[in-house]
Amino acid sequence: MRKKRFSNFFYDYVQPLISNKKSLAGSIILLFFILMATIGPMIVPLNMNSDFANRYQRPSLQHPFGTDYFGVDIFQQIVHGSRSVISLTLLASLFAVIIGTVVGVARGYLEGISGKLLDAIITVFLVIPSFPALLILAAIFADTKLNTVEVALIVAIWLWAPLAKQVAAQVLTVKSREFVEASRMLNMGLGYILFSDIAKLLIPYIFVNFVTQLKSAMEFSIGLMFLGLAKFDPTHWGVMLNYALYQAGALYTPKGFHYPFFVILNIVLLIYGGILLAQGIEEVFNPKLRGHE
Amino acid sequence: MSTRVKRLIAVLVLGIFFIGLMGISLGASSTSSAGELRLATDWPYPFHGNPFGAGAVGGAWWFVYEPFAYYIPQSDEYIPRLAESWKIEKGKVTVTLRKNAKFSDGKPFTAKDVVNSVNFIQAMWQWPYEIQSVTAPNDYTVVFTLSKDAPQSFVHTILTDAAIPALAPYHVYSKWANQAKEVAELGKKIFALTSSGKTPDAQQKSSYDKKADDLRKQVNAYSPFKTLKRMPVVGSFEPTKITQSEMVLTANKYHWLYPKMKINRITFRRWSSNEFVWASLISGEIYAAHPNMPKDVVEQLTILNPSLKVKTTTDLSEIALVFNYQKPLFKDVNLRKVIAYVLDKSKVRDVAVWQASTCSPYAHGILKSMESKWISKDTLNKLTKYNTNTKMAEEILKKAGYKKVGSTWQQPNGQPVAFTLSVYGPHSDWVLAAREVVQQLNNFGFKVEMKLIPDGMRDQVMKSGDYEAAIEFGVTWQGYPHPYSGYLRLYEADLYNITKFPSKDKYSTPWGKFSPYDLTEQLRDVAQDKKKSMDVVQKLAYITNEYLPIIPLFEKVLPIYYSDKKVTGWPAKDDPIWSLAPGGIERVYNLLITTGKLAAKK
Repeated sequence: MRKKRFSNFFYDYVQPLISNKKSLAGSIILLFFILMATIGPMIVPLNMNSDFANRYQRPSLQHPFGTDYFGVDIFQQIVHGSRSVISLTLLASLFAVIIGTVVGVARGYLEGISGKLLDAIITVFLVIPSFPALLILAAIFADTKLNTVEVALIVAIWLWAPLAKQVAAQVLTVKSREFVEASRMLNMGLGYILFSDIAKLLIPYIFVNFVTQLKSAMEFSIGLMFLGLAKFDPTHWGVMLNYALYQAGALYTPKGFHYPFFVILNIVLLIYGGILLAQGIEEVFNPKLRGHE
Repeated sequence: MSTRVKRLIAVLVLGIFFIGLMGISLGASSTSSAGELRLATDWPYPFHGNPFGAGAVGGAWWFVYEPFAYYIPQSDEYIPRLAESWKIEKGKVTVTLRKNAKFSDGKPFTAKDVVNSVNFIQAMWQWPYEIQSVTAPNDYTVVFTLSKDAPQSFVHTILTDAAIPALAPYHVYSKWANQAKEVAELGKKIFALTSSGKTPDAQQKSSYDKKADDLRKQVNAYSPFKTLKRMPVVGSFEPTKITQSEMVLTANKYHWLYPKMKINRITFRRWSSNEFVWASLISGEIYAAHPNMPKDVVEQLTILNPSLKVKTTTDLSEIALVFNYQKPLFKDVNLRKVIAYVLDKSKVRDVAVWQASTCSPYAHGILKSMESKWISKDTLNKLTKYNTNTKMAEEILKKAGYKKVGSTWQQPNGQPVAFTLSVYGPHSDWVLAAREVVQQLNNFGFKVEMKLIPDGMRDQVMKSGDYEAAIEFGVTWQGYPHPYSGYLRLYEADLYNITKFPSKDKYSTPWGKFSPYDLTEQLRDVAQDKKKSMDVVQKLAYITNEYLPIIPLFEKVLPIYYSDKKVTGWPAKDDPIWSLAPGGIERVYNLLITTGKLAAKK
């Protein structure tokens, strides 16, 4: 029985994803970064000792991505930084998506005062300027040593509202469909209608949103580090980029071109991998775009 | 309307549009007029022209206000500006004003303006109460009577601070003159009572608070630029056109040195970031600036803009590692000594500010560039040299009962030597220094984390003591280039307020036991007497070096980049005039312009 279920799951979900070029490429890229974050630090040693005389060394066998302004190997830092980048951004995006989906679905389905109240909450979070809000949070939490989950939650607070607004709009178009009406007539519970009937239809949409949140989550997490809210991590890619562009002025010297380049390349690859996977998923599961049938 | 006419109208509209666009772009482009100096700075916008308003007048300060004199530290020379001469007696300074000084609206500058300015700054800023009274026996003589507690160094402040002579011209601020005088008098009385350990009467205090608040509200809200449509100033330039991105100053034709001036216009671009200033220097958009610049950027800059030269001069300040003495960990002098031995200060300097001076192996509280002037060879021989020596550091720790467990050092109580190093995020050179310090201490076996202090929160964090160790300015001599400034900061004022180093405790020295607080007080009273100062400085240097209230990392330098492509007459690199730059580089430019040295290249 269990074997049959697994087989169904494989043919229903995994195989279509593998057969779609975009989702396959996206999965490979993401898998590469996940491996980098999990196994990478065990294989690649990190030596952060500065060696100013050997700064801005070009890429070579010894230093695959060259050295930075401090003379430290960029590749080693990318590998070790991937752990905090991936854990923090994935978690923040996940939290944002969960909050956004729950509130969005509820807002779309509910009517009357409760619906308006949710709408007002979404609007408030949409209009709060995030940077001043982060400054206030920095002042509030300045004394607290926050862990990754707490930091991810703080980041998520400023990311969920646009998704909630969009999900609410989608739900409004879905909720009058026949199968929802049928569930209502069968006296199915509100939770079932919201999260079994309606939310399922939104999964590809939500996943795409999850991926596009990664970039914002990354930016926010860097902001929090520079506000002193999150533990300062010199190998975080955002911090590396900040050092490269603002502290070391790598863009102003041809010697330093590779320094921001490799950091940006990895950020772009990570996000691009996610986008490819999201597009693939949408093509696979959205009947209008389904190409594999 | 026929098609032909429609086409003609369309062509005309398009033509006007393009001509307008070209006009705008030409207007915005960096055209250089004859006799112009282009710089970068910051200023409040909308511009109000009020020194008491938010942001004051920004970087225009030293061009629009003149002190009685400029002091050149390297040549130890005062250059008279608004003063013709001065006489210093015990507790009294008599200044004879220049007769031909005028405000930019043509009104003469007289003693009445000085009296009014002092009243205003005392009322608005609660400073300088060291001036007990200021009187004007005639239009061109001002007598400052100092309070009995005023340090000798305050005479230097009176002579060189541009706020004192003409910050509040009488004819501009006369509306509040009596009010300011009343508030200043009340403030001085309360200050005198508090200083002598007495508590001011509650009614007197509340009356002062109400009157002072009332005055501040009115004066802060005043904008000469809006009300008078100009900003009458006694300096060599008056701000005449200010937008969000550009501030233009025009020469004051009534300035006594106007006939000599060959630069009649200063254009400031907004110093939005260091990167903007780097790019502006490379492109020739600005002719001089003093941003911190990484070594490779400087190399690239000299290739792209060969007309740029660079002169480095001491900033009369140092960057240091400071400790919070409310935290038990740092009360152990052995640990502080170990940190001093572990740090490779040259490495810290290389990554943070590569142009900074060679690091001193001492931590005596005297700037490295001034060491030979103030510390005798005999004293230097008595001081511990903190060259990088990890073996020595390990020996000290072991003797003091610390143990190394695995790769981490533990305190005698079994706790790891762990702390957080806070650093102000927007100061990129400090962040780079902190990163290096953290790395070196962790390599040695301490557990040190780095924490950035958010923009605008440095004062709040440091003053509230919400830090363990931090990167900060160590001793600075900018206001008064004398060891007194550094030791005052360390043992009584700014740094003491954030570190709470027990400066009133007595410490052993080869000359007996002394408290650095008492010695600093002594130095205050003899600051003008070099021989007596030297005697006190040796003791303070010993205590500072051996008990390490802070660990200096390097003496900061001011890298000044200047181009002779559009403007010539820059002084030679060894000219003492450059030493006027710390604390107000615009003074150098102003002095060069008003003495006719700087001129547009023909």
